[in-house]
Amino acid sequence: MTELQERESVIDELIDDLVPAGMDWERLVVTYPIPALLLAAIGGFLLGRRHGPEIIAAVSGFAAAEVSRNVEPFLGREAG
Amino acid sequence: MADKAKPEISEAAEMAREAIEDGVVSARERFQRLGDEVQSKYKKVSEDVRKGAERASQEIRRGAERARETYEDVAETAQRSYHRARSEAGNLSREVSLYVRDNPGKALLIAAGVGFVLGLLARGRGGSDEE
Repeated sequence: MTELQERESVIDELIDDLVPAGMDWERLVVTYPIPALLLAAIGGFLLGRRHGPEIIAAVSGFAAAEVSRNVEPFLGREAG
Repeated sequence: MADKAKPEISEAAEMAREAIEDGVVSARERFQRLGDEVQSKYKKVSEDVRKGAERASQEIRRGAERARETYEDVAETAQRSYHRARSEAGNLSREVSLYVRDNPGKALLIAAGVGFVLGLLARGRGGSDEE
């Protein structure tokens, strides 16, 4: 599996987690591409408007934790 | 004496008649000249008015023709621009649809991301609904 395919499958899994189970979102998006895009953009807009800073803070915290988790072994090794 | 005065009176009367006739003729001629002058002036004025009206009519016709040509040019340009914009919008819509069909998840994520950023910007400008 190439890196691009892997990334796309990650995106698909993410969307699968977000939408209700049993909903064939890919078929809907392929059948109605423009309305699906509009709906996604409106959803993103509302999410950004209502909970934007919280989401950014959570994502930043998650990224910082991941970075520190990955860097910790090297720092620990050097300190030890 | 009365016989002697009679021809003199008749001569004087004749002279007076001739004088009156001359006056009448002269007055008639003068009136005739005046009438001719008035008529020629009337003709000149009416000719000037007619020429002015013709010129004004030609100018109005020319202006209307120019306005019609300008209107047609503008209408044609607007129609061409509308058709071009419509065709470009159709092409863009087709390309977007193709991209979305090829990469549905990615396209949805990009759209949601763009919406999210716009929502953040809108919140920054106008304040959130909850605040």
